[in-house]
Amino acid sequence: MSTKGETMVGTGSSRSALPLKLSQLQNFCKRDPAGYREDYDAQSRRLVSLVGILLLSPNADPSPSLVELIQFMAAVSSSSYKGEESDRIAALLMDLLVGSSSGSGGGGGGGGVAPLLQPTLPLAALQIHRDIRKACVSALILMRNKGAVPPLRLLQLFFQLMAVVPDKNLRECLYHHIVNDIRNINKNGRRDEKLNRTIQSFFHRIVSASASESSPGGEDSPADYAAKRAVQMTCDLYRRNVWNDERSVHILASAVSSPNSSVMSRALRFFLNIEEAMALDKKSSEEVEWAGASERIDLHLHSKKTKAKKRLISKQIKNRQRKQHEKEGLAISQREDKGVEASKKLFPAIELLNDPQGLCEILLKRFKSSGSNTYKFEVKMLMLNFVTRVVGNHELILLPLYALLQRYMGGHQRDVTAILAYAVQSCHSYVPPEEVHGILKTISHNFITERCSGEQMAVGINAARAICARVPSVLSVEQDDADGGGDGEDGKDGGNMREKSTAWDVEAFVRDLAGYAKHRDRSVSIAGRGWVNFIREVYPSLLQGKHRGLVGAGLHRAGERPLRYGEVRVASGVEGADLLLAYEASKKRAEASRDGEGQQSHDDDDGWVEDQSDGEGEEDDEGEWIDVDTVDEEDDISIDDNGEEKGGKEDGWVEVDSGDEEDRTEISDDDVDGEESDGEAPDLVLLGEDDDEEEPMDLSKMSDKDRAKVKQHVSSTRIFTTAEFAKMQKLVERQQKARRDPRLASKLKRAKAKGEEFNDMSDEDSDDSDDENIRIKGAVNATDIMAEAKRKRMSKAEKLEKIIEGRQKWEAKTTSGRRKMTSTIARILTRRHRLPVAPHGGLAPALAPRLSSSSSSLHRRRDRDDGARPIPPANAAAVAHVVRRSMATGTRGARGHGWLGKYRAGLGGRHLQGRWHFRDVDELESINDEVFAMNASSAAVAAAMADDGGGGGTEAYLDLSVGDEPPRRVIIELASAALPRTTENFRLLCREREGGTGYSSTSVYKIEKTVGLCLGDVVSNDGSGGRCHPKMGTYASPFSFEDEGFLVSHTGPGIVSMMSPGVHRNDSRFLITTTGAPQLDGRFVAFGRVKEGMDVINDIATGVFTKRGRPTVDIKVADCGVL
Amino acid sequence: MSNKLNKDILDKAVEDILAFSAGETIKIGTKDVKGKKRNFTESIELQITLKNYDPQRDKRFSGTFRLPEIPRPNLKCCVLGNAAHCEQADRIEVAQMSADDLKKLNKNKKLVKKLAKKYDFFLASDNMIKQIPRLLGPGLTKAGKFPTLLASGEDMQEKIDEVKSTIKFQMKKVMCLNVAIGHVGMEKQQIIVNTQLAANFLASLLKKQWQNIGQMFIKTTMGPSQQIFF
Repeated sequence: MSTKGETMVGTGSSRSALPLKLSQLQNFCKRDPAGYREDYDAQSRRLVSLVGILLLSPNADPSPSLVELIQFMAAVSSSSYKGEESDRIAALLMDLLVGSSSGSGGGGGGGGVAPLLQPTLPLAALQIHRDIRKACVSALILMRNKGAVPPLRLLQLFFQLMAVVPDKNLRECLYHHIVNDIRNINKNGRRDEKLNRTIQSFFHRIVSASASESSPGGEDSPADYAAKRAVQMTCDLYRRNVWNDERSVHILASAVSSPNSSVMSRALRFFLNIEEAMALDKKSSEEVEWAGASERIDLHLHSKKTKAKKRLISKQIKNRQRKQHEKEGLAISQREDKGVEASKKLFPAIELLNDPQGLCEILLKRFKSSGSNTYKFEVKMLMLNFVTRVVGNHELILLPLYALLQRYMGGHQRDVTAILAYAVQSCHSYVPPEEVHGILKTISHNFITERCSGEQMAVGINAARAICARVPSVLSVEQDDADGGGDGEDGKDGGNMREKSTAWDVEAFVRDLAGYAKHRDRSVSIAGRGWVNFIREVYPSLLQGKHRGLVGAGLHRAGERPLRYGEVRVASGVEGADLLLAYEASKKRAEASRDGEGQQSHDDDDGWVEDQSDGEGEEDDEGEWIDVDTVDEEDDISIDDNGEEKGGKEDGWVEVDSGDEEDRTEISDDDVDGEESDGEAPDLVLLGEDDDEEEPMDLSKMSDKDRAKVKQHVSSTRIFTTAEFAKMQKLVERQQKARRDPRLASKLKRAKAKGEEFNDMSDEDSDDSDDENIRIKGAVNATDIMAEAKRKRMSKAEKLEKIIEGRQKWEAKTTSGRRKMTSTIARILTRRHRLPVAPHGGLAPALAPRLSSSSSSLHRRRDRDDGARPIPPANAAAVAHVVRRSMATGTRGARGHGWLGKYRAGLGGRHLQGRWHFRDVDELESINDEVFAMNASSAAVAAAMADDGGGGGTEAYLDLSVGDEPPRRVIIELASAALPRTTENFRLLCREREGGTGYSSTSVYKIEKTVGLCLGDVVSNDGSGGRCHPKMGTYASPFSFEDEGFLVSHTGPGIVSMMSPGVHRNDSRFLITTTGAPQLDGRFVAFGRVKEGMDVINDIATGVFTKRGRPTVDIKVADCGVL
Repeated sequence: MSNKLNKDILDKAVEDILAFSAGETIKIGTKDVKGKKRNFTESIELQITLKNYDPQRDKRFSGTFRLPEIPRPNLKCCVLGNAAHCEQADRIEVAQMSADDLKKLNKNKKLVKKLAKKYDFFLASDNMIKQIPRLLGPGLTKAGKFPTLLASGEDMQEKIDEVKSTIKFQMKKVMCLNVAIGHVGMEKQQIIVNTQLAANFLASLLKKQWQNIGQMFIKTTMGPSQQIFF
């Protein structure tokens, strides 16, 4: 090999042969650098001479050999002769690009201080041919990639090139090279901080150079172009998490202050959007990764199974599993950082700004001084967005900003919603109220007037709401001045202030906006309601009483009002610590009372002992104690919320006093036993020796100050566990809720009275969901304040969710023991009111006393009493026409009386009361029995019956056949003695054979699963009609007869009852219940019950398919009659 | 890793730092270290690092709370008040400035900065406080010393004490927190009480309570730090 190489050199280098041999030589040089040194030197001499020729006419077409030679030299020198040689070549190439005049002393530029951009513009690079240029650049990149050239030196050159060279491809190439170069420097966790810092400071110099020299709106100079690229690179690197430190933010911050619009807007966009962009990147990269892993694996199910294939498959599967694990592991590891490493977590870039105030001032000044054409509108908006966001984020005071914003809030302003969003963004708690007032005033003048369109109004209202939500102190001005005016000394000042505030009447403003809740435009009314709801939460006293609503009223009573300007809410301890204490005390008490109540009652003092002496047992004295407590509660009207309003009772006073005592003793205790409670179980230091467990920790009786003291004490003497934190959070939440909701408050109060204030708090913890959205303090999205023109159409999933939620609610209701009217019959009939009518000819006097006596215990059937009072038959018809509202069972009216008392007794609200709920089924059944038993006792009735139509008269039968099956018999017992007319109608219809007016060969037309079978439509056989037996009809109503009386109740299965479409309109239709149907009591006259054959009924009710209640097979009354 | 602050460790740490600042010898690890008494009252600080906390996603917390004992008794206060408040301030010998005094500063940045440097906190009466941004510009907010409201009904001395014992947790730019919770002149028990309250309060602010706290150290101004939470 070496001899061959020798000969080549020996024969001399003929130029035509060179192109072939350069690559060979490159190979040899690589293998034996020392041996081929001479050949290499010869080539390098050739290069120098060629370059010399080139420089004579830079523009001339280059020979292809030169391009090749450059590549060769770069490759060989950087791989084989790294060091002096490579430096020399690099210097040569750079000189070629920069122009030999500037710095041929390549050794001087070796690293360190970079000269500024301006003096060394690579003018030569503009002159030489682009192929040579490209070759030089790519050679240099190659050398850099091999590490033969220090990064900084090249960086300068490349930036200079990028700024001036009119070759787009080259510029792109350079850009990517630089970014990749910096990425490679920081690859795999090894970071050269020093190098990074020098590069960053170089970038910073480039950027600030453009910032200092260029003027707004001017043409792009090369410096600007370089700055633009530098900014772009910095953004890119930040986004790729390479340079995410404060220094790069600083570079961008100085770019923001550059007057050049494209440099500035790039940097502004970075600050405004980078977090979202990075989150998106992360998400998409995860997805891509996963998509790669989820490629399908060919299992070769249909091809020949060989060992190789098997191996392949198992390998693929394993690979895939590994990838999956990795992905999951990544997700976990990203969540669980350890210790200090976590401090590398990124802060939002905007928070890392060094001098936000200065930056905002510069930007605002530039914004204001710029003419109409200096910056594009979009750029101006970006500037405003940035300034307002920084102001909101860092809580800066930048008073000129608000006046400027107001100027832009015209109705016809382009992108006015964005402007409004910026206005919202710029408000924070330190903004003086007058500025905010100005903005609110402008908004209300320009947007919230009747001459504006609905959408504009809605946007205006929403913006006003958002502003007030961020600066609640603006709402409190009125109060402020009232206070300020209190002391007369600063009369002039106060008067001055008040004058100002009269110009802005907050209350009027609030009420004015609240009025829009009833606006005819939908979007406006939505916004108005949003406003009202907001004010209810924050300062309900500003609203009129009618607007306050439940929540607002509760909070108004609690004295809710926003903090005033400059006021700080100082927590005295962990929120809810006092509640936790009370909770634990009550727990302990409950436990104590459970085990060994007898013992404890011995060492009790005051009231207690007396109670016990006249109490019977342990349970009782607990009850007594509860009573005492309730009395206290009632004395003290205000619950937890308003400490000052203590009832003034002496017991309240004693409470507080003892509280103080506790505190004092505690402090002295601390020195003695501060350490004793380091175990897991926290002991209640407060419930120490001096107060017994029996003494209730009653927070409601303490003033705010005392509570704060307790809170501070508790949270400084013990260390809470996570579980306790969770508990406290829950307790606080509950208290907040009670503040807002008077109903809950009273419920709590009741529970407290019973001593079981905390019974509903379970001990287990629940996990709250955490959302993963990026939130940057102070950022506002314009869509947030947009008008809600239409209600969003729900997606299918949302709809389903809503349905399920409703269903669950409904189920919860029904399972809690409430009955619901489900049948359509009942639904139709609930609207009707019934008039009880005395049974024809009067009821047997024997029954009367029984009924009247039972009615009181039953709460039902006032009509029974009526029924006991016989009405002469002559009057019956007249009575029938009087529509009187009865307090019959099951009507709303029936539930009216005394509900409040029952409610207080803990029986639930009105909707849970009423006679259905207090029905005693056994009692009712015994009455039913008695009613039927009358048949036997009143022989006279039976005899009359026998005379009348023949046949026994107290029992009837129906033979029901389902489809083609043979008929089965059902025997019905009739209450003939008690309800003679109804039963007679039934018997007659059963007996009727000719003319088709009887029950035979009619069908069961409907099966209500929750009620029973409906049958007996002798007219149309489908339930739409019916007529009574002709004998029963009168002249006035030929087809129906009156309700005879509701004596039999629908207590359970097997009751036979007339179905009537209205009051006194019984015809032939009847039903047989398959379950208890209290909803029918007082509406349908029940007159019989199934004596035999209930199984037939049940079989039909459960075994027949129905379609919307209609049976799909024909269920015929094959035969019927009287026994 | 304990799931919450350990009382024993805290007790030991406080003892050690007090001993060190009193010039006694304490043991750190296996070595004995000689303490040194300084010529000023060292303050005691609580330093906290957080973990599992994502500043982009988690809600930024900031909490103001009141310690049972005043950690730094000689903070300097200035009342920016109306006539009544100024008079009152004179009575209890607290520095005061009226609106005219402030106008004299003439929004001069340097003067405002000087003013902000001179005092540790400010109180302002309710009609003054609204004018402060106009009168003084952004200087006070920049220094983080925006005045606290002193309502007309409140007792000034009480308010001053309250502000003195009030501290604030606020995180900026790094995931570490640092608050002064006492000084070496205090008794051990007082320091412990303050520390516990601060730790409890911080934990209550965080989403996962103790699990969000990486480490906690307690140290005097010039003494060695003692880790109390791991």
